[in-house]
Amino acid sequence: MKKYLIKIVFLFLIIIVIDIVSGKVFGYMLEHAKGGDNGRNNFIMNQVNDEILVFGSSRAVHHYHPTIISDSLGMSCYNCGQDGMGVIVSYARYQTICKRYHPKMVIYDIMPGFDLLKDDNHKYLKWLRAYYDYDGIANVFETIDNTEKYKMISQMYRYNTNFGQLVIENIHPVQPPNIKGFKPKDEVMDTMKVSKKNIVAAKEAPVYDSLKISYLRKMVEESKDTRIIFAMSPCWAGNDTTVLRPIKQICAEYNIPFVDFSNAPKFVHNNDYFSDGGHLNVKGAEEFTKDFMQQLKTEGLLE
Amino acid sequence: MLYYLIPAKYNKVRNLYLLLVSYLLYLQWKPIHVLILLGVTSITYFAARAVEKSDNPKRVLTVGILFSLLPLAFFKYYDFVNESISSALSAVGLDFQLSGLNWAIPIGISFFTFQAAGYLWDVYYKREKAEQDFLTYALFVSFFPSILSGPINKASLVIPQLKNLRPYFHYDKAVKGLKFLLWGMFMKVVVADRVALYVDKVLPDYIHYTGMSCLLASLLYSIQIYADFAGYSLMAIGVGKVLGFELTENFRRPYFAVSVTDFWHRWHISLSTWLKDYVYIPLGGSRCSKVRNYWNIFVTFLVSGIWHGANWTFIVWGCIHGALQIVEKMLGQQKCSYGAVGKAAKICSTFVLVNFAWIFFRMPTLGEACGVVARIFNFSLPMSIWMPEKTNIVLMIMGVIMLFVKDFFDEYKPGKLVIFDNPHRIVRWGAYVIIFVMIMLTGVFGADQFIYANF
Repeated sequence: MKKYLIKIVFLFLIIIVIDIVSGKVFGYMLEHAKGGDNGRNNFIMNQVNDEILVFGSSRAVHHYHPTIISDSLGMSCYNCGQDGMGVIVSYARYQTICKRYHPKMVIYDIMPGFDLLKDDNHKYLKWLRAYYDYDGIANVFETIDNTEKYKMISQMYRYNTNFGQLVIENIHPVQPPNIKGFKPKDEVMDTMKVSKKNIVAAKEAPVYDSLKISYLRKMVEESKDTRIIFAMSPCWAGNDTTVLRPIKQICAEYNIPFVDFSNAPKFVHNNDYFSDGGHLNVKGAEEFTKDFMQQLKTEGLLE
Repeated sequence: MLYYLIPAKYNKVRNLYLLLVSYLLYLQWKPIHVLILLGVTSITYFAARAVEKSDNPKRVLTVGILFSLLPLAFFKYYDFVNESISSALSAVGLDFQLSGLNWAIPIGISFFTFQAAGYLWDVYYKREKAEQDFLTYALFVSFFPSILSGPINKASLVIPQLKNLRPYFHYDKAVKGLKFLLWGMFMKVVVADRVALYVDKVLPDYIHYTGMSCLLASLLYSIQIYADFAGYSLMAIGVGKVLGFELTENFRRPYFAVSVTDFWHRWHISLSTWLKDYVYIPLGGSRCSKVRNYWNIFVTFLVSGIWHGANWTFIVWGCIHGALQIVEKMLGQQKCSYGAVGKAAKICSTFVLVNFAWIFFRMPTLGEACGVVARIFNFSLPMSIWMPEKTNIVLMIMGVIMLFVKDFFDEYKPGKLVIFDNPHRIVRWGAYVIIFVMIMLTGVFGADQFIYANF
C-alpha cells in the first residue's frame, strides 16, 4: 500500500511540474502570438481601444466591415466577434474591455443559436480559459459550471484544444491577417450545397437559455455610457423571426434599437452575396455594412 | 482511501462502508429514486429466499420477476406503450389516451433490475444459493462502479468476492485498475466526446447536410458509442480493481468482429450473456428445430432492443441485429474461414452492417433514421463533406488512430505493443504521463453524460 501511494504521489508530482511549466510556456506563447485567433483574442482582451466595437458570432466577424463603419461615422471601429461563440464570450470580453475604457458604441449581431437558445454552454468557454485570472472572468465560469473552478487549477487545461493553434500562431499564422478584426470571406456561394427553400416556422417552441438572456441584459445594463444597438445580419434562407422574441423584449424594455436584416429581400437567396448558407462573402459584407449604416442614419438611431 | 482505513478482518464493515457510499452516490441523482433501488433489491432478495423454500418455485419466481420488473416497465415503458396504443386507436378513428407520466427515469434502472432479476433466475435454476445476508446482497445490486451503466454482473462472480475475506490490498490489481481508469478516461474524453462534436452537429440537423456528411457522422457515431461505453466500462472495472474486486469484462474489440454474431460476443458482453442465459436458452436456444432457433434469436434481440429504450428506433435496431444473425446462421457465415483478405472483408462488411443499425439507435424517431439513410443514398446530392475547424479534425483523427492502433495490436499482436505494462519503467511512466497530458490538453470536458447512462 505504501509503495502504491508513493508511486501515485510521485506520478502526480511529475504531472504538476509539467502542468506548471506548460502553463508558463503557453502563457508566453499567447502573449507573443503573431496573429490568428489567439493574437486577435489577446488584442481584444488587452489592447483594443476603438470607439465602436462589434460583437457576436462568426456572422459578426464576417459581416461587419469596420473600415466602412469608421468612414461612415468618423469613429474608429474594431470587430470583436468570434466564430462559433455568442453572448457568453461577448459579455466576458466586453466587461474586460470596460475595465480599461468605455466604447462609444457597441453593435451586437444576434445569432439565436448562440445568444438565445439552450445548448451546452461549456463550448463558449474555450476562448476565455486562458484569461481565467482576469477580473470577472471566473464569475462567468461559475455561472456555467461550478466545477470549472477545479478544472482551472490545471494550467494545461486553460489551453485545452487550443495549444496546437497557439504553437502554429507563434511560428507562422495560417489565417490571413484580419481587417480590424473583420475576416472577409472570399468564396462564392456553391448553390449545389443548399437547396433553395423558404424558411418555415419551427415545429416546436424554441427553448430559451435564461443564462444567455441574462448576459444580454447585463450587457445592456452595464452600457450606461455606451450606445448599444442589437442587429441581425442577412440570412441566405431568411429567418423565422419569432425566435427573436426575448431580444426584442429586452430592446423594448431598455429603449434600444433592433435592426433586423435577416429577411432583407436584397440578400435573401442572393447567391452573389453569400459564401455559404450562413455567411456573407466580402461583397455581401460590404454591401450589408453600407446598408446597415444607412439604415441607422435614416432611422435616426445614431442620435 | 477511507475504505483502506478499515482493517481487512472487518470484512462486513468494509462492505457496509461500500454500501453506504453506493447509496449516497445514488442519492446524488434523484433521492426519491433510491426507493426504487431498495424496492427491487428487497423484492429479489426475499423472492430468492422464497424460491429455495417453496414447493412451487416457478410461481414464486414468476411473481418475483414480475414485481422486480414493474418499476422498469412503469418508468421506462409506460409513456411509450400509452402513446403507441393511442396512436393505433386514433388510426382506426378512436380517441383514447391516458395522461402521460413525464417522470424522470431512475438512473441505471435497466442495469440493476437486470442484475437483480438474473440473480433470482440463477437461484431458481439452482446455479446460485439464495443470499442470506441482506447487506451483502444490497451491495451486489447497488455496487457504485457498475450501477450507472453496468457491467451487468453475475451473482456468482461478485457475491463470493463480497462474502470472502478480501486481502487488505492487492498491489497488482490496484495498479491495473488505475491503468484501466486512465485508458477508459482517454476513450471517453479524448475520443468519444471529441467525435461527438461532429456527430451532434450533423445528425440532429441532417436535412441541412450532404449525404457524405451524414455517412461520416454515422461512422463517427459508431466510434463514439464504442469509445463512450467501453471507456465507461473500463473505468467501472478499474474502480472495482482498485477496491480489490473483479467485475465482468464488457468489451473485446467489437469492431474486429467477423460477423454480427461475433460482434455480440464482443459488444456489451455482460448484456449478451444475460440475454443468452435468461432469454435465449430458456426459449430453447439452438437445441431445437432450425425455424424455432431463428425465432429464439429474433426474440432475444427484440428484447435487447426493448431493453435499450422505449422507442421504435431501438426495437427496429434490435430486429435488424436479430435478422442479420438469422441470415448469417442460414448462410453459415458466423465464423470466418477465408484467409486474411476474406477476414478483412468480413470485418469491414460487419462494421458496415453494424454501423447501419446504429443509425436507428442514434436518431430520435424512425422517420428521422430513415431520413438519414435516404440522405446517405441520395447520390444527387453533392459529394462534399462538412468539415469542422481544423483543430477538431486533427484531434479527432489523432484520438481515433490511437484507439485503433491499441485495439489492433491487442487483437492481432498481443504482447507486441506493450506500453502500460512495458517492462521498462521509463516507457511505462512516460505513457502514463503522456496519456494524462493528452486528456488535459485534448479532452472534451463538456456536459455530456455517458450514452448508456440513459438506459
